[in-house]
Amino acid sequence: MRKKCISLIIMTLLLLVCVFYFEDIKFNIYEILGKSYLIEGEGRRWNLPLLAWQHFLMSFWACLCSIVIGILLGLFVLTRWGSEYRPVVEKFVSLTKALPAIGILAIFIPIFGFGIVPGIIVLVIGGTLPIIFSTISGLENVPSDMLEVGKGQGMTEWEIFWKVKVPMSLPVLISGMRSASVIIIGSATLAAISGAGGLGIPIFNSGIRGFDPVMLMEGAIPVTLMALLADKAFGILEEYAQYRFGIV
Amino acid sequence: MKKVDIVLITSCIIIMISLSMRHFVSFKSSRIAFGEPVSAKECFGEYYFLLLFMVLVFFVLAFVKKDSIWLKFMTGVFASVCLALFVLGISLRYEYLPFDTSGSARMTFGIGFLAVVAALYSIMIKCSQGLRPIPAGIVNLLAWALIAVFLVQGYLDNYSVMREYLALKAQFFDNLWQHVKISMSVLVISVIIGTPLGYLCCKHKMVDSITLVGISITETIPTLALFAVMRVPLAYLADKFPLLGELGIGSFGVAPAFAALLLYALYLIIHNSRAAFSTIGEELIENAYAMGMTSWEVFLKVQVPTAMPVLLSGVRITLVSTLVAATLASYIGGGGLGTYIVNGINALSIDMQLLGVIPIFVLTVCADFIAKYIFNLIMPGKRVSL
Repeated sequence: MRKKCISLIIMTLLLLVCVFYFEDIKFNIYEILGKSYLIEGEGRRWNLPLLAWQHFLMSFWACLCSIVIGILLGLFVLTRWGSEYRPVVEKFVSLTKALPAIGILAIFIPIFGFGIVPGIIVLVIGGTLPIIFSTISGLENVPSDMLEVGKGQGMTEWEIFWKVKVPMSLPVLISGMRSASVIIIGSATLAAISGAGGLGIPIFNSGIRGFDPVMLMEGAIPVTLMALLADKAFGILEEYAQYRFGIV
Repeated sequence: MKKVDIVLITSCIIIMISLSMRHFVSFKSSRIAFGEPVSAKECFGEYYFLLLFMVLVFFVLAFVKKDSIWLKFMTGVFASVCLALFVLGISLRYEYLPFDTSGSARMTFGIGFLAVVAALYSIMIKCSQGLRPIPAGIVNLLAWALIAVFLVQGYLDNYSVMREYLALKAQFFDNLWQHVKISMSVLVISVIIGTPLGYLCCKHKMVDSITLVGISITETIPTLALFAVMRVPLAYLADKFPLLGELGIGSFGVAPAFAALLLYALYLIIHNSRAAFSTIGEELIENAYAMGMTSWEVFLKVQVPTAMPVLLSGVRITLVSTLVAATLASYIGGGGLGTYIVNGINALSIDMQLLGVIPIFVLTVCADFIAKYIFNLIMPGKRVSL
């Protein structure tokens, strides 16, 4: 646990260095490579901290929305009235996996206009799937003897839900959030198309439209680090939840 | 014993709301013009009462249906037929719209149209629950089969997507074939490389720790960035060895797209086969050895059959994600159906983008369905679930 926390801190520092000081390192890399990318790259300087901040904000809101929507839908499907809707919700949610994110993003641009909104909607569509399924499987797979014990102690149904079911399903739920956050941070690079900014801009302009490996690194390294960071952070949380509430 | 089917009632309410909506379908005088909203009443004209009748039937069925299997099946088939006829009807009513429908004018789906389709589809899903496989299959597939027949017969040519398709007919199938070719070759190669590697990961600690680093990097790097990153080493290779460049390996084209997709698929396959082989109980293997099997026999007769369901579901996941991720290949000149999405973004034309999105969606869903069917045939005992 401590080891993981230390690696988390190191990674955060690395991310900050990559975001704030890459501009200075970049020219050294150009010199080492001895390539003439410099002429091409001179005119295009990104405000990397701003892009990283936009990326972070976008992924944060998308994560929050998809967690709220996913958990609410998952809970709704498990109630007595909602269970009628369960096959429908599951089918529709699993169909979203077959939608190419870039395509739906492009469709939403004329409807919602350029900016951050279509980007966030697409990210939410992509990120809700793991959360809904982890909510459902987490709450359903609580061992029945635990529920029996709760009932035997005279808990009401509400108490069983809050004090037995929720804590015991927490590790599964957090692992769902983990994969959702990795997916969201990754596909937030696509939102550069809709004018939402973010670290997708350097990747697009120098990795796909142009060809400049150093500038590509400028965008790709922080994104990868961000996703790794989210992955590790949720991993630590999951381990803690498992240790605190899980069955040993 | 259920009294009423709330899903049916909700669907009826959704259909009623969307029928009274202004944005039922939208009409455009040309490809780049702004869409004019058309309501359902304007669209259907004198046949509008048929829609209301359909809603009424569903509403009555919601109360009558109860637990009867037969009525459930009939409701599902009715919803299926309604969905197909609804899609057909709008296309046929196109000429009666109160606009100038000649020339480059076209009609796109609006929010109301999509809501009605979603509502009818959810009735189909709900009614196919609890039926035997064959009736459930009829309920689920009838609508899409009918729509496919209408599509081939040319009855749906009035939709804007079909207009785009008719204009690009010649290259559409090339792109489709390219999309399928890239994804399938990636899938096959990743299965051939990935499964033994996943098995080795379980056997040797050393291999495991090395591949895990690779896996976790591939997992966290965004797909788009992976496509961009793969261009760098390939460009270097083509620079150093001109022969490779002549063979088509370079920073642009199919090669980087293929490499990126392969890495992405390998991550999924290795992850899955590692999980599949490591979850086999030790006692199973020990039992097999105790029965006098050689290690080769243990591998073939115990480990592979036990790991098979997980392996196959991994192949299915990889199939879906590769088909979807291959969309991005067109950004670096890899072709495929993503070409239309890229062109559509550049031309700001929704119709063109839909020509990319809808075929990819349909292709992915069909491929997933076929894979599920085949895997269930291979292993009738253990149903592969996802």
